[in-house]
Amino acid sequence: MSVLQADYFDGKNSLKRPVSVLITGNKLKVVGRDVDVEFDARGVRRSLRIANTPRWLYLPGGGACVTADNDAVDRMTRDRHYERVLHTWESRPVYAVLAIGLVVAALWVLLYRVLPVAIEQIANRIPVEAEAALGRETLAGIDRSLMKPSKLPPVRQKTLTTKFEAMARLADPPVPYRLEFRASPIIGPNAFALPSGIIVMTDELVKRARNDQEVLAVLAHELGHVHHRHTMRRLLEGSATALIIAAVTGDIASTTSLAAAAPTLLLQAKYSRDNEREADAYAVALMRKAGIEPRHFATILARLEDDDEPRRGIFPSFLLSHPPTDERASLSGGVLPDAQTGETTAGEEGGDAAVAESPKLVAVDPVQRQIIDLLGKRDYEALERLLGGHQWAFEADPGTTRQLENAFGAFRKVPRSGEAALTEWVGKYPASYAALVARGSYYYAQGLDARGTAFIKDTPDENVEAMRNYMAKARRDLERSLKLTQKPYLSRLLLMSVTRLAGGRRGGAKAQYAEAVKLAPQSVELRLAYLSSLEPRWGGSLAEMEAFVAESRAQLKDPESAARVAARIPAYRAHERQQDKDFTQALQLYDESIALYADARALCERSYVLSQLKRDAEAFADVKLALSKVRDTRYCLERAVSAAARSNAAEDVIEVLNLVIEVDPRSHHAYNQRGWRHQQQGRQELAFRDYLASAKLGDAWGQLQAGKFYWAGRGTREDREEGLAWLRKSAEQDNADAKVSLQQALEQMGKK
Amino acid sequence: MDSGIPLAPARPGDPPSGAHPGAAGERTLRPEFTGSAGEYFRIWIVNLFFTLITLGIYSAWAKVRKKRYFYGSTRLDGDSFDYFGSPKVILKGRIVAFIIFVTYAFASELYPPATYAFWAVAILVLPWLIVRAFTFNARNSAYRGLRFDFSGTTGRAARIYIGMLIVAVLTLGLAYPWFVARQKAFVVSHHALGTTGFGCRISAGDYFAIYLIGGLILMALVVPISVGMGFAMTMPWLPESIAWLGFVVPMVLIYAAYAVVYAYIQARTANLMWNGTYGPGIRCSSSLGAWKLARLYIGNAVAVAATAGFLIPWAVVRTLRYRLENFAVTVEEGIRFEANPALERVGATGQELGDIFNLDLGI
Repeated sequence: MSVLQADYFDGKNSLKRPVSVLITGNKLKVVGRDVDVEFDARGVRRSLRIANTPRWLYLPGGGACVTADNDAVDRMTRDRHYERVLHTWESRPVYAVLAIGLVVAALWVLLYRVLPVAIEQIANRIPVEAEAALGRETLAGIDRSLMKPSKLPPVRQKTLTTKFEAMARLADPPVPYRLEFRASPIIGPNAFALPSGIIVMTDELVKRARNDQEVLAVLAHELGHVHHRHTMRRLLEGSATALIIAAVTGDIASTTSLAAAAPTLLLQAKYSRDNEREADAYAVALMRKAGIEPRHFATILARLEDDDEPRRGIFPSFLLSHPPTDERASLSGGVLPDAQTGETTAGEEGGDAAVAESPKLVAVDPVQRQIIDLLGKRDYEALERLLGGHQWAFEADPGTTRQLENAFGAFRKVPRSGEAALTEWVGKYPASYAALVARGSYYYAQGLDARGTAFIKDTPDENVEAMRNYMAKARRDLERSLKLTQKPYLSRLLLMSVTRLAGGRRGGAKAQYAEAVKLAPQSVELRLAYLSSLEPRWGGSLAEMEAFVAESRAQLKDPESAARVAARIPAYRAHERQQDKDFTQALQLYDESIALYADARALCERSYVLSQLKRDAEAFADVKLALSKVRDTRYCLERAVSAAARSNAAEDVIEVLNLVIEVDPRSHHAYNQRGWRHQQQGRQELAFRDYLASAKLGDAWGQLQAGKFYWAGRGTREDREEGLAWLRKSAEQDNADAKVSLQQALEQMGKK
Repeated sequence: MDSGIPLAPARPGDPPSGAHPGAAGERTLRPEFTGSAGEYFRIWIVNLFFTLITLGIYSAWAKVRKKRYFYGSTRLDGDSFDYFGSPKVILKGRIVAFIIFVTYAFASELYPPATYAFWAVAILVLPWLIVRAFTFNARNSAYRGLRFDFSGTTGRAARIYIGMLIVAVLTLGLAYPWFVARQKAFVVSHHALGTTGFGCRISAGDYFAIYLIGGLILMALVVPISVGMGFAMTMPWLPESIAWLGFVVPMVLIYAAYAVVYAYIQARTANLMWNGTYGPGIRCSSSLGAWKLARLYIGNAVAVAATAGFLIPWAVVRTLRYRLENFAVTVEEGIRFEANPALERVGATGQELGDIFNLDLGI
């Protein structure tokens, strides 16, 4: 039996009677001075515990007992689980602190994650036509108060409409719109999207624009608003935020109404700025598709911004409903915007410096030259335009992968001294696809260089380590770039090789390939890269390779492309034979491969095999052919010099060496060889120039020759001091000939 | 306004047990708030959390917990109030209100003429809603085991809320104080505790005076601020970096001015209303200070804004405490209330619609 001190009200009048409440089994007794009633305890309801407010026991028949002894009530009655949980949460400060965190998190998730997605989904399901009445009304409304009929000549209107239609046709999915011309001295140069896809443009805007592309840029932006259903979304956002804010501030709404309204306004301003960003991105993408340079968007924004100057400065940016212009202009300079922030890679240097840098090949392609030049000047804007243009061209026509690969290939030829510029570029354009892919390509090339051209088992550990480091960096950049465009073909292509070389999982390449092949189904490079990842040394098998080749043959429309892919299998098998020093077999397989397609790399490899078989003339013929095709692998260049050294055809040799030196001006072997050939042909001056170049690169043989030429005044003025100096340098490098020559020279000097 | 207790009806007393000496055979009772800001904060934050994660469904339960906390923490003559609104009924009301709100939001945006039709219907339904809301709230509130009641009829409500509102609009707002006075009198005089009904005498003339003085104070405060702002914005002597202050500071000052005037009108009209409220053997009185209330409001706004809303519970508790401290009820010795035998339940929809459209139902 339990006893509880309480006050009793009979529910008939307000008289209060102090009583004891006794509970025995199913009986509840209320006993006091002139009270003595008994109830079935199961019919008694008890109020929930809230802090330490008095507890009520509602008795059958309308009476009630109230007590301050909450703990006793809890002891005597059975409480349900949720009551206990609620009371615990409401009574302990620790839980209050936890609840604060949870509320903040829940609000964040609701406002930033759930709401935007839900609203987008709902907005997309409501047909644009539903906005027709609203659009009509709104247009009529602004016509009454703000607008006058357009004074643009009908011909001009027609031209602009036609151009706009041409651009809007490229929109995918199609966006319903209606272009309206108006004059508005009040509003000035402006354009806006009204509900149901009505786009109103003022004459003032047309006049303020320098060319039609700028007008189209603004219209593309407005079309973006229509495409993203921003009218509908604003409406939904308004209602949803009002509800959420009401839930949070419900208590205080009337006492401090502005305090309650402020968060609503701020949130709506934020959503509005997000909308502008979306429309900006849409405009840039559509312009690219239509072949209009995105910079026109930046220039017109900048001009309108100038007009706005006196007003804009006053408001802090969080109150503005458009993002600040600097930020917007950088979007149109970049490839595609995203809120990715650029992390600097400063402080990550070191580590790799242990491995000496191998000199970069010189770009001979005019596009690559221009890109490297722009990077040297740190003209990131021009780089964004140029490379963004290539990416755009690719997005419009997936058949242009070659040009795209070639343009970004420039960054494989950037020396380490260019890394700072690349990092600066990424920092300045954190949302730029081009910048990240550029730096990724650079790291990739650094990684390949660090590995060198030797077989992996002959490569020193620190080189392998350096390669892995570079590949990891490349991978980070390339993976980040994936989010910045809808067609990150190049990132995926590079990632296939990068992940493999960084020691990643094998499945990685497959996933990348699957995505990339959708973007560029006819790309040969892509298939070759994937085929490499299927090689047995990377965990694949010949069977897989052959299956893939068969698949590619079926899918590639161009027979030459198909043959090129097919040729990789015999080439790979040849490579395996070659490693086992079975050169005869290797040669047969290379022949087979080259018969399918004369790939430069295969030619160079066959050249090696041929020279191993002492068939020097053929070996030289192969590299000559290879270099006439491509000159961007160091392996082929080295092979060429080596084959040239054994060839008797002096003029051909010089021709090939010219090609080598053009892209690899630090190849002292090539200078030596070419100098030697010139010398043999009696062209002493040319010979001397090559020897001097080689000498300056620190080649001992080059120094010996240069010393001799100076000494003897051959091909240059006679300069014994200079001659001695070079001979000494060569001798210091332990060149036996130089030591002898130096001694002779000193003897001769002594005689005089 | 939703301050947590049924303001109009809840001021009677029981036989005396030693209190302030008033006139012969009377005593004066002052309500007491026994809760604390910290306690309410914990209830509020937990309510908020569950409301958010259940996408608003819990809000009905939250509301009941909040009301029970305030009622249970408010004591008059030693006894607290009780609230037994059912969360499920409130939830139903909220769902209806939500549907109406969404329909309204969509209809008014997509088909603007729908707005007029909607408001026309809303104004017609308003008196009924108001009566339902007061009835629901009153009948779910109790003191000493007795329920309150609201006996206003839709017809009378329509006469005030539609008829007088039209007059107020036709006189370009000049009749607005008269409308407010009549409306408050209507609400108070139709409340009852058990069988004891209340009455309310409000002089519309006094209301006119209050609004007139309020208007003058507003002008006296806002005009100089506006002039100053115009001055600050035309003169380019402010450095670029703080130029926005020239806009924000006057906005804050104007808001403060509004708060002062709002507090003045609140304090004076509440005093008038309560001082005119009576019942058999009951007199109420209120002595709110306009300036004190204004400082309270401004302090609340600053604290709430500075803590991103986390001091809302503190603001609510301290405002309520101040209001209760300045309220008193004088009752005859031996006063007693009898239960009204016929009180059936009413739905909560009316009240919840009031919540969501932010109608000022609580006077």
